[in-house]
Order: sequence, then C-alpha cells, then structure tokens
Amino acid sequence: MSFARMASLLRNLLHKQREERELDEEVHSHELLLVDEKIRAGLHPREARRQARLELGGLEQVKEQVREVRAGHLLETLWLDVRFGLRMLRKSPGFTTVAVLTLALGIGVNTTIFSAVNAILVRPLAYRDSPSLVDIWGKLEKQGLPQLPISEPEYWDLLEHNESFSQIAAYSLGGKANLTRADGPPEHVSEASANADLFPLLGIKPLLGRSFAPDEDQPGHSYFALLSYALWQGRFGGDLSIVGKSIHLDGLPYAVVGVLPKQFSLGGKQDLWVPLGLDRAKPQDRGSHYLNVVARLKPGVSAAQVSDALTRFALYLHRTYPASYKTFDMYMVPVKEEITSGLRPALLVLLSAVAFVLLIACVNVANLQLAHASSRERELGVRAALGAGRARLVRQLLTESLILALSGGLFGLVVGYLGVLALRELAPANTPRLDEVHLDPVVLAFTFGVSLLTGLFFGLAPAWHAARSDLREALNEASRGTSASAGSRRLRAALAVSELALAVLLLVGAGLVLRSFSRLLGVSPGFRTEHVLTLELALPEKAYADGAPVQNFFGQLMARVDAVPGIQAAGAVSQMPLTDSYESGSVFFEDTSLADLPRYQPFGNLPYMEIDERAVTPGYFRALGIPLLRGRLLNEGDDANAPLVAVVDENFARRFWPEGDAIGRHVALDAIPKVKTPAPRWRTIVGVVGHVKHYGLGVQGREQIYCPHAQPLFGAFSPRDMTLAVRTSLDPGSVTSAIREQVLVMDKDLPLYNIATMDQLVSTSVAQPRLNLSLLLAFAMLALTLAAVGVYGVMAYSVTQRTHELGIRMAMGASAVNVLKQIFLEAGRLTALGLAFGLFAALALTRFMASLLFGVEPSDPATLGVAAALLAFVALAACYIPARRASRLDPIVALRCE
Amino acid sequence: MPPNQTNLLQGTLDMMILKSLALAEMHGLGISRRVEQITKGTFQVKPGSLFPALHRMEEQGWLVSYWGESENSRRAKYYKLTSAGRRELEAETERWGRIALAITRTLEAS
Repeated sequence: MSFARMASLLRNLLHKQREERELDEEVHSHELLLVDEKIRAGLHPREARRQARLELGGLEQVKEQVREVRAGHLLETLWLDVRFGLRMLRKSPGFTTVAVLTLALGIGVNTTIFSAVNAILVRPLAYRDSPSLVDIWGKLEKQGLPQLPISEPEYWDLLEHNESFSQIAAYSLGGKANLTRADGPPEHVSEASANADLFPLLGIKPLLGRSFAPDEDQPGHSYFALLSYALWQGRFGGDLSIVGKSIHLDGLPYAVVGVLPKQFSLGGKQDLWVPLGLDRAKPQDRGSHYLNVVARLKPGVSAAQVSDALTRFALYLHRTYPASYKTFDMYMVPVKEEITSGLRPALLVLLSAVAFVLLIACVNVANLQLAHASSRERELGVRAALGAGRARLVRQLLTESLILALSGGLFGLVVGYLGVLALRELAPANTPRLDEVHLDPVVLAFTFGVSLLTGLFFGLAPAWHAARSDLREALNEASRGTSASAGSRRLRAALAVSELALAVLLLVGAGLVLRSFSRLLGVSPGFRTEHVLTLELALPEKAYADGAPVQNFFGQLMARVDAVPGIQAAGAVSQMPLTDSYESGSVFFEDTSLADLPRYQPFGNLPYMEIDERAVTPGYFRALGIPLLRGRLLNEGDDANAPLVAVVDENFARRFWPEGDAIGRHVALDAIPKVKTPAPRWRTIVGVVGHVKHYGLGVQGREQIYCPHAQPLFGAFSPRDMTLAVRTSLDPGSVTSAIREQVLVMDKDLPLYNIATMDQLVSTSVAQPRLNLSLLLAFAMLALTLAAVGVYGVMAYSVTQRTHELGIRMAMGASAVNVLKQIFLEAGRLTALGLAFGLFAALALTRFMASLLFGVEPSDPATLGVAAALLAFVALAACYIPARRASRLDPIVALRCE
Repeated sequence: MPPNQTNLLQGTLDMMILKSLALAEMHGLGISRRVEQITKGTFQVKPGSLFPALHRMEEQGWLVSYWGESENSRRAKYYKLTSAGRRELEAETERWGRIALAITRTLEAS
C-alpha cells in the first residue's frame, strides 16, 4: 500500500462525513453542469433536467460506486456488519445468553485441559536444551527388573567408553535425613545426592551461591548442601545470607553452598542436595545398582545410534566381566518422556473428551442459530430485495457467529482459569509439572484460535442455509407463517443426531472409567485398612551403628508403643504398602523345582529371583490384619540369637513350589560377595501369609518375603528407616502425640514424619484415577446437558413451526394422545439415530482409552447399555415439555395463530 | 446513445482521463466531453465509471482536486495532474504503444 493510499485510508475513516459531503456536492454540481449544457443546446429546462438525470444514471448508485473503490471500504462494511450483528444479538438476549454460555463452557473446559497438556506434555522441561537430555537405565528383564539404576563400576566404565554423549552425570534419590537445630524440634527432610557434573549438565544455576565444585564432590569431604527453594523459604525464612552458613543433618554440620531455583525439580521434590562423593578408587559392587544417570546427547546423534551404542556397551560389560553379567542390557529414555509418559494417556483422553464437548457446544449453537435465522428469514429476504448480495448476507451471518464465538471465548477464558485453579487443587500433589499449569500466552492463543474456529464452524450451517434458500420464497413463507422448509428441518435434525451421538460417546467413556474405578476400589489390598495409623522414622547412621543398636532401638520402641493405652496392635515395616517406598533384592533358593530361573555363579550356581524384601517387627501382621495362611507368624523369639527365619506371601509359595509346601524350605538374601558372607546364610520359611498390594490396588506386584527386623538381613544390616503401623480406634492425633512422646524419650532428635491413616494412603494411591474419573464424569454430564438442550430446542421449534398443522389435525379429530405420539415418534427417531451413531463411534474409539481402564473391557456391554438408556431417557424427557404443549393446543387458537 | 458502445477497460479509461488532464485542468463533465471529442464519440464516459476512476486515481496520488468555478460560474470540482500522474501517463502511453504495435503485427501477419 502506497503512502498516498494509506493517507486516503486514514482520511476516509477519520473524516468520513466531510468526504461524504464533498462527494454529494461533486455529483450534484455535475448534474447542474449537465443541465446547463442541455439548456445551452436548446432544450426546455424541464426536458434538460430529465435528460441530465438519465445520463447521470442515478445519484445514489454513482455515489455507492465511488464509495466501493475508496480505500477502507471493506473495513467499513465489516464495522457495519459488526455493529449490526451486535444490535441483532442484543435484540434477542435469550438466544445470545444461551449461545455465549454454551460456548463459554465448551471453550473453557478446552482451555483448562489444553493448559495442562501444554504445561505437562508440550512445553520443554526447565533445563538447558532439555530435548537432548536422556536417562540411562539398565535392565534385567528375566529377573523382573525392567528398569534398573546403574552401579558405580558401570558408571566409570560408561564414562570411559562414551561415544554418544557430550556430558554424563550421576545422582541418587531416596535419601533421608533429620534436620536438627538447637531452637526447634527435629525435622525430616528428603535428601538427594548429585555429583559435581549434574547441575552444569542440566544448565541449572543456583538462585544464590553456586553448585558443587569438583573438590567438594569427594569421598569423605562431602559435607556441603544445596537447599531447595521450598526448604530455604520454609525452614530458613528465605535468609539471603544463608550461603556459607552451617546446617545440621543427622547431627553433622553441612556448609550451605547455594539455593536452587524455585522451578527446579528432579526426581520429584527434594528438600536438599548433597554431593554424591563417589570413590573411583574403591567403587561399590558391580551388582549394587543405585545411581540415576542422566546424559546429554551429542548434536546430530540419532536415538537409534545411541541405543546401539548402549547395547554394545552392555555387551562389552558381558565380555569383560562374565561372572557379573548374564542378561544385562542398557537403554535410554528421553528425560521428558520419563517424567510425563505416565500422564500422557489420561491427558490425551481428556483432551479428546473436551474436544467432543466443544463439538457438541458448536452443534448446539448452530442449531440455535438456525432456529433464530428462520425467524429472521423475513429480514434477510427484505435486505436481499433491497439489493444486498448473497455474499454480503453470508458475510453478515458469519460476522454475527464470530462475535458470538469471541464473546464465548472471552467468558471461556474465565471458565478455563477457574478450571485451572480447580485442577491444581484436585490433582494429586505428586503430579509431575503440576505447578507449571497456568494460562500462558500459548494457552491464550489456543483459546483465541479455538474460538475463531468454533465461530466459523457453527456459523457455517446458518450461513450455508441462508445462501441456499430462495429469498423470495422466504418472504412468502414468512408471510404464511407455516412450517420451515424441508431442507432446514433435515439440517436441524442432523445436527441434533450428531449431538446425541457425541454425548453417547462421552457417556460411554465416562461410564467405562467409572466402572474401572469401582472395580479398583473393590480390590482388596490384602489387609484391613480401617483404624490403622502409620508413622515413619529413621535412625541416623552417626548415632546408631548397623546391627544391634538399630535392632534394639526398634525392639524397645515397639515394646513402649504396645504399652500405650488404646493401641490394639503395633508393628513396624521397612516399606509400608501404598507409599512410594519400595525395596527389592535377589533371593537365592536352596532348592526349587523351577528350572528356568537365572543362576548366580559365585555361590555354587544358585537359582535366584528378584523379590520384594521387607524387614518387620513381629506385631506388623496383626497391626495390618494380614492373614496367616499356613505355618506361623514371626514372634519375639526370632531374634539375633535364634535361627534365621522368614515368612513369605502366597504368591511366593505358589510360584517357587507349585507342588508341595513352602514351609521348611531354605532361602538366602545375602548370598552375594558384597556383604562378605563366606557362605549363603540360609533362612527357613516358617509361614505363608496373604499377598499385599504394595504398589497400588490395580498393580500386580512382585512376590514378597518378610524377615524379622531383629535378625540382620545382609551382613549386620537391618533397615534403619521403618514405618510404624498402629491399629487403634482412638483419635489418630492423640495416638500420634503419645507415640511421639515415647520416641522422644528414647532420642530427642528423632522426628516422626509421613504420618497418615491407612485409609488416607489408600485414597492417595487412587488419586490419579479418581481425578480422571471426576473430570470425565463432569465432561460427560456437560455433554448430556448440552445434548438435552439441543434436543429440546429442536423439538420445541418443531412444535412451534407446526402449530398450524397440529391445529388442523386436532380440528380434524386427532386426540391429544395422537399428537403426543407423533411428537415422541419424531423425537424417538432422532434419539435412536443418535444412539446408533454414538454406540458405533464408542465401539471404534474406546479401545484408545484401554490404558485408563481396570478390569473392564472397552466394549463392556453393560456400560454401553446404561449409557444408551440414560441418553434415551434424557432425550425423551427433554421433549416432554414441547410435546405436552403440542397436546394441549387449542385447535381454534392454533389455526388463528399467524 | 451509439449502438457500438465500447466497454472501456479500466486501464484504458485511466489513460484517457490522464491524457485529457495533461492538456488542461478540468471538472468531471469537462473530462467526459473531452474524451468524447478526442475519440469522436467512440467512447462515452458515463458518471458511473468516471467518478470512481477519478477518486481512485486521486487516492493513488496521480490527481489532485480543488473546488473552482466553471465557465458559466458554477461551483465545480476540478482535477489536476500531479507529477506522479504525469509519470503514470508516460508509462501507460509507452506500454499502450507496445501493445498496439504487437496487436497490429499479429493481425497483419498472414
């Protein structure tokens, strides 16, 4: 656009009136000049004026032609359309309110779910160049270990044989410490360890101070700490001079070197980080897999190349250390996938669900607009007769649709924002990246885009209808006030059917998840959950040496707890079911009839398998109500001086001795050289108990073995981190303080933490499926309501349009029942078609949500049936009011009604 | 109204208006009559084509307008060529010459 043209545009828009006046004068003067000319040629003045008019060809037309070439003409008509559209919408507030509300709900739920999808699945992680970050894992598929951390020797070997990575770093999670200080009670903190390479690799710069220097990450010199933002704010009040100060962990002083940024998280929330302090000269055993390894891919290296390189590296390990490796393999997972893959299926299902809700909302508004448009047919007819082109009318209708859609979008943002708040409140606290979910520019752009698309989509039907319909006929029809054209009715019926079909689809989806959830809750965890309180505590290494001190502490503590009034049973376990704590290890068999078990060379080629190992005090089984099936439970006599014993679960007994009894068999937990046992220390199985769902109600866990805490599990070691389970019908709060009192009497620096009732643990363990269920149910109800409104709209309109016809029928002798039957027949046909399409779509689509289901087939007939029945009921109920109105028509009034 | 009314191509009309104004500043009717006169009545420029063309060319900066007095003392809007308009006329004339020559050659070829 040239400068001159731009200036004209501005002039035309800003000085519209002056321009109009000038144009008017110019055309007028032209006319006068023409008349003068004709008079000079000898014509009578009146004849001259007539001829001048003729030659001019219509003042208004000439002016309109000039206006059309002017700059800004399009903008100006758009403005007119918008103003006219707004006036039309204001004139029918009922229609406008319903349409905007429907759209706001549809667009709002999309905004909420999209903001979650965007934050969790789409946006890159808050690390430098995060797409090139991968986690490296080992696996022992045959032993039931698909994802194995890396051992120290493997880590050093990997650094030496690295081909694919520009950087590699190691860290370790799951550490715990007691943060003690003079002026307050001890506090439990989660402690992770990182080597000096980790934070530079991730590109994380501490908010205050710095990350670990290489000379701080040394064995025996690692008394340094990096605080998380949350701990710094909460425990240290955001002290800006914290760097260089000393904090006490398990009674030992650690120098604070820095504070991590607020948004930093790795392996979930960690309270603080300490140096890993690996000793290259004296690495731990090759079989001790505990390091998380993260690496940055070299630029241009493909995933396939890295996988190949890792497999080659695993083969190198096999060749070099044949005694240690049999079936070991290695692989990598992109860090983002590692974090978010668990949520992906649910989020995608939810995203599809809200897309369907929006489709229903669109169809609903399109239907409303059609009904609205047919009452405007006369207006459109008049405008067409006055010279408005078809394109102009379509543009006008589309403009109105876009105004509706954008208003819907605006209110949708409000709905979406509330939705995000609700989502962050309802989602389980350990949902990855939850605190990143908010309305950012990407989400705003998405909402705007969706609103525009929505407007075009639901605006198409009425616009298309207006463009097609014969406007002259529209004028006639409106004057007759009879039934709508067959085309319009078919279109509206088709829209109602598609709405019903989409609602069925959502109902089926929500129904399947509902049934899954009730199945999940119906699963017995293998113990009695009511009236159980759980509390965790950990003995620091400095104050309690391995072996007797740890064993004695828990022995005495349990005796004290047992004596607390109101406690029916109490026990302790190294890993409480339905928490994030788990531990497994190799259990070796003296004899088992199973031939295909892996074997381990150093101790006479013993068969072994990865088993969940627990250390318990004798009262544990009674406290949780885990049933004894055969043999005996552990008791006070199974102490350090008694023969080693163990109790196994029913799955263990059935798998390894499918025929014959497990009781009396010998197994060993520590038949590996690292614990420097000269020979396997065999334990005798004395009892079989029921299986406990450790990892969640819907998860098939490993086999379980329970050893007495009083007898060391490996070498001299018994777990120093135990969770108490207390069966009591008293108030959990008062029992907690009674137990805390007993603990503090024994050691004033020991905090109790992770205090929860077992019912709370169960509830937390199903928080994710519960959230999926709540959201899907809400969306399905929304869909059902919208579809019901849609059906109501179509039927009510149909009845209104046919008042005349129904009147004739009734005048001719049709009874109210006949009329009712006719209306319901029509509604029934729509519903049946909607059900058929919806069920068909459900059968095709629900298999994509199989990963969200538990114990229910995606094509579960009962769910399909109930969903169909519910929809049919709601649809027919929705047409009850219009049908009743039809049946109560007074024929005389109906016939007169014009 | 002559039966052989020619449908003016927009570019041709622009060119003829510019050519008329190159000789003198004129009002709309004057331009109309001038074109008729030059073309000996082959082209009749009706107000419905004339005014949109004038306004468009004014917005493009080829013409400027002012209110003046006609020969018989009526207020009329006069149009005047700008230097940009003059350049446009030259370019158009040159282009038209090339096209006319090409067409003549095509028609004369046997």
